[in-house]
Amino acid sequence: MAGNGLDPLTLEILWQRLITVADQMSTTLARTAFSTTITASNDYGCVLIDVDAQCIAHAQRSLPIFNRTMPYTTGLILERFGREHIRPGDVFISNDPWENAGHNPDITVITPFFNGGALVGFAASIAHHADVGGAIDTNQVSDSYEEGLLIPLVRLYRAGEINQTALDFVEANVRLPTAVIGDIHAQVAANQTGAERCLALLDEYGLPDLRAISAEIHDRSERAMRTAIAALPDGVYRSKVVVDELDQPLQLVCALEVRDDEIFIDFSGTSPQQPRGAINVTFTFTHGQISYALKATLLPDVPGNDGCYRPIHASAPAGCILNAQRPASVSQRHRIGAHIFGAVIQALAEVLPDRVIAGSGFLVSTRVFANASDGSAISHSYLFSAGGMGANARANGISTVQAPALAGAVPVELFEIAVPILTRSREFIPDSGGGGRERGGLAQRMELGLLPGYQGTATVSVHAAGQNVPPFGLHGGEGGAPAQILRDGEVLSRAEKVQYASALPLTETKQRVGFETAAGGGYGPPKERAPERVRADVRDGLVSLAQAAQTYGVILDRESLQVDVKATEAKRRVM
Amino acid sequence: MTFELGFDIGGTFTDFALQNTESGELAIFKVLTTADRPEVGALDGMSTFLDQCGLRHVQLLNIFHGTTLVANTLIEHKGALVGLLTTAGFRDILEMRTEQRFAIYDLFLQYPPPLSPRYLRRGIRERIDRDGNILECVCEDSVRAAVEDFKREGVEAIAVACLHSYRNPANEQRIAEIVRASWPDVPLATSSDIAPEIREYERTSTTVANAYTLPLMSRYLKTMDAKLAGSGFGGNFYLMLSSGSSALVSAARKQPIRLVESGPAAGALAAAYYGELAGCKDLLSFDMGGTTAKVALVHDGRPAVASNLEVARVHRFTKGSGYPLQFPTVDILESGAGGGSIAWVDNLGLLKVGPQSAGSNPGPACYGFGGDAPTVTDADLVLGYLNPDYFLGGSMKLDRQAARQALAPLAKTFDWSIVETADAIHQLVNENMAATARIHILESARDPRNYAMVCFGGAGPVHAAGVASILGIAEVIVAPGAGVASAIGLLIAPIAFDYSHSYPTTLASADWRAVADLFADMETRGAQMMNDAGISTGETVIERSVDGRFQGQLHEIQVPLPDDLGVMKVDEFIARFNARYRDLYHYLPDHTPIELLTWRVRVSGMRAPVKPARLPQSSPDPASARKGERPVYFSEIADFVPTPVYDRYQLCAGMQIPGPAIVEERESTIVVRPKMEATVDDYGNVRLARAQAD
Repeated sequence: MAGNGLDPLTLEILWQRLITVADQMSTTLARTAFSTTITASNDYGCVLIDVDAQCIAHAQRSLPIFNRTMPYTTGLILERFGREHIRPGDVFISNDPWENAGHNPDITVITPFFNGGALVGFAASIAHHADVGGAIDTNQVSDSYEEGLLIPLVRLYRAGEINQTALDFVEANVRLPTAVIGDIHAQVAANQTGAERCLALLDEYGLPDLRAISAEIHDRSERAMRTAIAALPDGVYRSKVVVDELDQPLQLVCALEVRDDEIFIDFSGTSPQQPRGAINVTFTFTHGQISYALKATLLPDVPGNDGCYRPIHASAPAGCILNAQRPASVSQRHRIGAHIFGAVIQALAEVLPDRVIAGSGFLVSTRVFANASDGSAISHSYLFSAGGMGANARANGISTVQAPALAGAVPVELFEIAVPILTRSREFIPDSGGGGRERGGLAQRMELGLLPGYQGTATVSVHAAGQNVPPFGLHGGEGGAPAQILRDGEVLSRAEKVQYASALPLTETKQRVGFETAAGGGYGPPKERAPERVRADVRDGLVSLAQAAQTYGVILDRESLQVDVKATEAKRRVM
Repeated sequence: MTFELGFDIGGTFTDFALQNTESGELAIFKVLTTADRPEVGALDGMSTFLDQCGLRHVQLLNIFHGTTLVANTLIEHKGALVGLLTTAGFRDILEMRTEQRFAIYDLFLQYPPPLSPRYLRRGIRERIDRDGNILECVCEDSVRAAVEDFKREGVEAIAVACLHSYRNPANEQRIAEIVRASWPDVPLATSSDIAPEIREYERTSTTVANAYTLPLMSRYLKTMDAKLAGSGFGGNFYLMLSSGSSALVSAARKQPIRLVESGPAAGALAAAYYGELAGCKDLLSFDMGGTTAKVALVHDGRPAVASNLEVARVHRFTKGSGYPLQFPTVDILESGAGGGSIAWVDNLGLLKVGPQSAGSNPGPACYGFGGDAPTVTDADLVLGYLNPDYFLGGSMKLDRQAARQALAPLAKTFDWSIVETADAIHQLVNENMAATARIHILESARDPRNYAMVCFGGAGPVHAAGVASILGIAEVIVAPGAGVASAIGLLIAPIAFDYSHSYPTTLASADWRAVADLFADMETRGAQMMNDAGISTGETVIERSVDGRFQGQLHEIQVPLPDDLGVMKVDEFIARFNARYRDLYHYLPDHTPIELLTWRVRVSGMRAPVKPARLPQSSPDPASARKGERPVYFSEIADFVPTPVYDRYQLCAGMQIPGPAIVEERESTIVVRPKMEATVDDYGNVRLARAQAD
């Protein structure tokens, strides 16, 4: 078999084995963690990183942003501590938003591993923790100091010895110390699994380190990405996305230049960072979102690793909302950051119509804190609720599935066991999906109240992304319905949302807090949608008779729901 | 003399195994499955088989049946039109799933359609809270109205699944009563009956899937039961469940969804049985067929059982792309690696095998049915592992030239010879299957090196030694009758049923009287079922367990409970729980309370052991079984070597065959690699292991 270094067969086998190792880290973490954000919602990631701080493989369900930030944090370890000072038994920890995933609930734990005394690589995990202290009413915070615990990049273990001082600091600064400390230990265990399995693999193949395989993985992936980019015509592709998540409309301005087999993407002209409300985005998160959007559109089939991103050069001016500077408040960064995916997609929509999807409805992230009135118990749960996914050239958008994020829901029954809340409803919102030849995915409405008979009160923080401006349609498709926040069934006004939404009290059984997620945009002109498909949507209650007529120009018989062919043709002629 | 008969209806073949319960003598038989009406082929085949054995139906004490019908109904979407009644405000639970995408970079992924369409999902005003309190009684008129609508819409089965019904089934039961009153004969499934476990999506999915298969399976089993009775059979008719146990047809008819993995579960039981004969109790059951490979674990002689599964995955066997089901099932991992798996080059220039399969039509290129994609079978033929003139006992000729041609483009891409290419495909598919097995073993915190492998399936014995060596498994057991393993497994399965009920509580605040009541209820139902099967209390075994976790976690671990809860010491339970947890995850969280969720009972009846037949003894020299020689390629030698070929049907106990060697049987071929040795044991198992010092 020809070739220098690893032959293609051995490479394929080792590469798949490394992905399996990362998956095993992921399984260990999911099964031993305490926070539902990790266990039910999958808001975490596990990667294997080489000695040069480049990601080689990630767990298959690892969140894409995290796969990019962990190698970055690892690079900082090399820079600050010095390669020669990293010892077997060391473990590093950090949650600094500028050096990790953009907000401090995401805590990174990185474990270097060694073969015969030589550094071979790093096993790393990051997870969204149950609490890091700080203000609950995040719409009102004005800087990162109000956002709770910040763990600088430090050793959690030094040569196998735990840094109890660091853990004591963590424990003293969070509302749910048992869960947070337990989850940090779960991350350490997951990394240990990764390190051990990776070393066993090297041993089995008689390899001293990961260099040969890492080089092959990165070079081949880089070549594949270059080939994909080279297939695009050279030029500058632009998009401007208006987002309006808090006080006022802001713009994200994207210029994506394809130059031969490289991409230069820049966000000059984007609105400045905001003085309050926690919606600022650090560049680590921005960079992760850009990478994800380009990977998913240009090279979806290649397992993720840093080689894929070598031909991509991303930038955003310091001080803009996508490259916020300290001490900006950032804990709700995904409310703006999730739109980066759409900005990249819209820039590519003309040149890659078959590879893009319309705007998706993001998610609503809700936190509930409940306090028993006798002071006996405090209970807490996160709740992630998906919007609708954008449609594409070949299919409707999927209803209530997270996109571009990839976390998941907490089952209602488990949520209700965690907190004294009665979920009043959780259902699709008819007519919410953006009209199109392919329809956008539907959003959901959810309503919560105190559990009847519960002696105590609760505070509900609702953080919606996709408010005020609908997720975009593509190629003639219409936008999806934007997100809303409701109190006692009434939609909150913009001013009320800013003032109340991140700390809505529930003190009596009859009170309700609710929200609607945003829906997916449609693809292609709605009047080109086959009338029978519109009829099926009406039968299923996804589209009303009125929307069928107004948006799709399809006239149905009220009783039989048969398509009135003549009336439909006439209506569509004048649309 | 009395006899028991097992028959397993698979996609291609219907297999039979017949056991003389006194002598232990076993006979096997195979006919083609009649796809459109599987009972016809099966019943005809049974008559033919009995005739051959000089028996009549009346002499059969029990009949055990396994079938892929339920799995096929789900995969091919051929089930009933199901109406779902659920808590008002939650009609979309079934379609919202977990709100999670199963493939992170795929923007175009699709899910299988919900098994109850939205226009037939109706919210009913009612509500039960987390503690089982009825906050709102059932709005009875809305149930009646929904049922009338269902009748008009042509609904064929109804599912009822309400929030927290595992905690208090009263509202679901009331809804069911109203449905029954207005539509007495509609097939009906309630979640508190089918899967009374916490997690509304999984419980609803299980209940709807059960309703979806009810009408078809109920008709099918009724016909089968009646025809068997008509032919003179007067014994008990049992169905094989996914859990690896058998239940009377009367019980199975109510919960047909539990039959979904019936064939593979029986296969794992057969592995356990043959392993035990060979003196191995920790085993990997490896079954490689035409399109997939299935791996199951056997611990201490019993197949490992999981408390849930996912079926009909639409995306490359990816978790999250199928329908979740909540009931105990033999833990089987399936991967897209079979004889028909196609080799291809990805956009990184790397070789891949599967999961696309050429299936049986057009099939591998060497079948000569017009397929031109290079498959695993083509590679195995080029390497000399398969005999072109003795495939399926010679009933089908294989075309070696067509296989070489199919491999040629890949060879060109990699600048390899045709043979190197074939060897790469063979190794890679072995690696893929080993990866599946490795995850399975490691996740149960075991070491593969302590396991033996039992292999089945047409392609299993060809690849088993390669897969075992990747995993560090020392011994491979190729059982006799590997081609009808599931049918044999049916004769081994205990008669049993699993019950479960969620009652979430912390260990400290558990109301043990309530727990005792739960167990009493489940065990009464189990005793009734055993009674129906004619099994006395003295022959009944009851096993209790509970799914627990540290408070706040989401994943539970199953911990056995003592027979008498009255004497259970909480400290002992904690110690047992901690030991199991540490076993799995190597560390223990400090000071965290234990939470208990789902209580489980398995009620089983003992069965007379199957007595295996013994082969005649001979000297170690296998010369009398030798049928020829052909060149076979081995990567260890990096060349073709003249390799003796043996006839499996001529083997005697005690023979020792040094590798390299080939042992041919009708449905498969055993590859004995260089530096290995095959020995034939008393029961006809061919056992492959590293040769004693060369």
